[in-house]
Amino acid sequence: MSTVAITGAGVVTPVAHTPAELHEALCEGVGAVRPLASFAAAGLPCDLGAAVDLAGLRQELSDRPTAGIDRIGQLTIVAVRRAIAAAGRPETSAMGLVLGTMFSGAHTIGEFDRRVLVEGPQFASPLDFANTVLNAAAGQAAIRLSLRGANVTISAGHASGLQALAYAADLIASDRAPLLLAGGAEELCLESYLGFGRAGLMCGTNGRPGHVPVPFDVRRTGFALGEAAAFLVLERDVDARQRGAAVRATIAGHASAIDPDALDRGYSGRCAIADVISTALRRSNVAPEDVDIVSASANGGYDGDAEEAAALAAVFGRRSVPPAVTAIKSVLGEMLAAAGPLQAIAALEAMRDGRLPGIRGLCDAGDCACAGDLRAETRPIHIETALVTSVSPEGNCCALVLRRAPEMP
Amino acid sequence: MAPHVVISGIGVVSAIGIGRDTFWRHLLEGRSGVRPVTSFDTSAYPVHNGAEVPDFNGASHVRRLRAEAMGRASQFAIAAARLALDDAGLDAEVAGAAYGSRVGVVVGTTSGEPHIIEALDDALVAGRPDRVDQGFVRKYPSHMLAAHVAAEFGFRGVAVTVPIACAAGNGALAYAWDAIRSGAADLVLAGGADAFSRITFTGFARLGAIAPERCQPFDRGRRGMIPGEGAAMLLLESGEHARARGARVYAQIGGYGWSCDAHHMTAGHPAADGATRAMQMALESADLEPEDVSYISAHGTGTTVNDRLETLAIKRVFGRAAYAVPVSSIKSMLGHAMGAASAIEAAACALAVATDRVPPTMNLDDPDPACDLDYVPNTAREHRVEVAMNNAYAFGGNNSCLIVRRCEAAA
Repeated sequence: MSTVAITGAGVVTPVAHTPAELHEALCEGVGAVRPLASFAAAGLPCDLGAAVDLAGLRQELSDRPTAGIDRIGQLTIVAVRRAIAAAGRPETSAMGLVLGTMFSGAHTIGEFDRRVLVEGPQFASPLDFANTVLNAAAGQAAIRLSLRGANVTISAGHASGLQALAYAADLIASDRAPLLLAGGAEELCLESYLGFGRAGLMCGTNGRPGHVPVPFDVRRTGFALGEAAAFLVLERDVDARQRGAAVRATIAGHASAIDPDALDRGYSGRCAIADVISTALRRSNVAPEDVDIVSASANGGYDGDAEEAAALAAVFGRRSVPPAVTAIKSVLGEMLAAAGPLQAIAALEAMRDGRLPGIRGLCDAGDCACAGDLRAETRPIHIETALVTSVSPEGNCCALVLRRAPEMP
Repeated sequence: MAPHVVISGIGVVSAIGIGRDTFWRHLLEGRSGVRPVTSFDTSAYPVHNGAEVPDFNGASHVRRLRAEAMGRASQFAIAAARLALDDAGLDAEVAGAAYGSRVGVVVGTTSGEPHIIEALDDALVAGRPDRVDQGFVRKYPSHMLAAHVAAEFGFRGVAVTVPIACAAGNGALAYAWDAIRSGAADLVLAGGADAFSRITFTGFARLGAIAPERCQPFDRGRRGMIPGEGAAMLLLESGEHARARGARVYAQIGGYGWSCDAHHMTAGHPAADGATRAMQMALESADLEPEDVSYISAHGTGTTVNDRLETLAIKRVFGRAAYAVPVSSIKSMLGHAMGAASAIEAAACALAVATDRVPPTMNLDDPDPACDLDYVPNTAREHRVEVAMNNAYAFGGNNSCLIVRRCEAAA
């Protein structure tokens, strides 16, 4: 088995265009969640969200026409392009792409169908039809950036992006692919916004008082929806060194599972989450005592955050000093498939900079205090090993362990 | 050394029958599943035929969960999974408790649950967002296909959906192959599922790709593809695990190849570069030479572009040997079941290996002169099948090739 090196990362978020900017925004607690006018049609008692300004991406898409490339496609292309540049522009002809997404281009799909309903099938656009397949964003990115390796789309709910990273790491480790981009992309769209609102999962839509999308906070009332794209470049450690690329960190191991009882409950249970974390640590040859930080999946959901906190307590509870735990979704919202890869990238930046961003807005962890050392403030910390988790309400759980490379810049 | 990965259970839900035996018998008989579309009104369209699964009753397959709480593709996937478990001699009622965390689920799909978003669209067009199903986010996203299968049977391993359009079935089987070889799972239910939908039918109709009557791959008179639906789930397990429980084994997965054209969203590369590379990579990963291949299950959609490019790719990989290997397209009978298609075709490959019979390409009366290989026209054939190759191509420029081979052949 080969060691899996991370040699670059690219992000598109509402608050930052580079991993370093993202880290600064998280350390400063610059929030992106705000009222959005665009989803008034949803008629929901919540108007909060964290949206990317697509106009800001125009420059990076100007080399070729963007007609026929939808929102998630644009987010993906720009994030992938930034990741390739950050990795020192390796040869792309054998490079593959593993993209995690939960909703794909749901807005394109909905618009295509609504046009059929309103105007008739003869007015449906064949160009848009190409984007109604759930792997369209990965295909568009491959065309735009000449990625001729394996092109895989993965869907595992909120864990889609971290699962894509885990799958890609396996493909590299087993020498099935030489060079992969892996991560996630999710667009903020009427369809998912309306769906989460109707399900009572967003803050303000479930009868709990206030709009407090703050992970692990006792006042939490559900999440705010966000959007982002985040990709990492993975390759064999030996290949990276041979081409003179800077290895930032390695993927030490990971684990994934589904909690089959989550569907009935509406959230993944603590035992399933704890099992996945323990398995990931074991496969990484990392003892619970050796985990320096946890970037948690928690998003402000009432039950989900409590279950994740309990799972972390079960795994790390015997430590004399609990691990430092952070969560990025009060700043960026719940970015679904993009969240896990973005947490990983934020953890790498914390590793590089020696500061761990706090959980923005956290006042009282209450029932979630057992998760570990939770703080609202940014703190200095030396990080050798980071744990990233993604937990999804239908039961998908994924945990991934990152280890600092000896020569990390 | 990585373990062998065998196919020990086959479950199929198709337009020509539900269950392994009916499916295979009808496939060898050359039955057609193409009929007038019944699931929605096609009067505003220039074409009216499709390959729907007739008389499917989800409630008879979905038992622990409620069939009405999920979309049709999830119901198909659960039905095919239950059939595969039964076929493998595993009691579906206790398999979850018995194997739990060692069982993964990987489901390929093109569209996930299109009916669920169509219902949302109906509500929005009616100006009634308040009537959008409160369960939309629990039913629509494609990952629910795998999640529903895992929850129905109580499986606790990895459960992912691979929405890689029309190559998704092969993608799911490749994912499962790797998961077992890496030791992450002992058993994986893997395959594909898709439901016939207004969105998909409209799209292909607007591309002018749908044939008015029937699907005629490689025939000069072909008029296009026929949209279809269905599911196939295969139970894969490590050879050791299968031996230990005395399982009957159909075949094994030998390897796979993946490539992307990076050329066009809906059209293949003009020189079939990606399709050629995928076949070459598959042969390499299975440590095989082109001469070792005894059967090719073609992507074979029945469009002129696909037929000619696939034929070209086969010639580029096989050289003169291309003329000696039988190639057939079962889409001539099943239509194009989208993300389920290559999973159903992989089931056919496993059955071809197990029974030494090759299904025909139906409706092939007057071959296109540009397509001059042996397409097994109109009649199934007795033929020793050591190694079957399963091609599938997809929107986004994806090309896949899966190797299904006899078990003794890979010591």
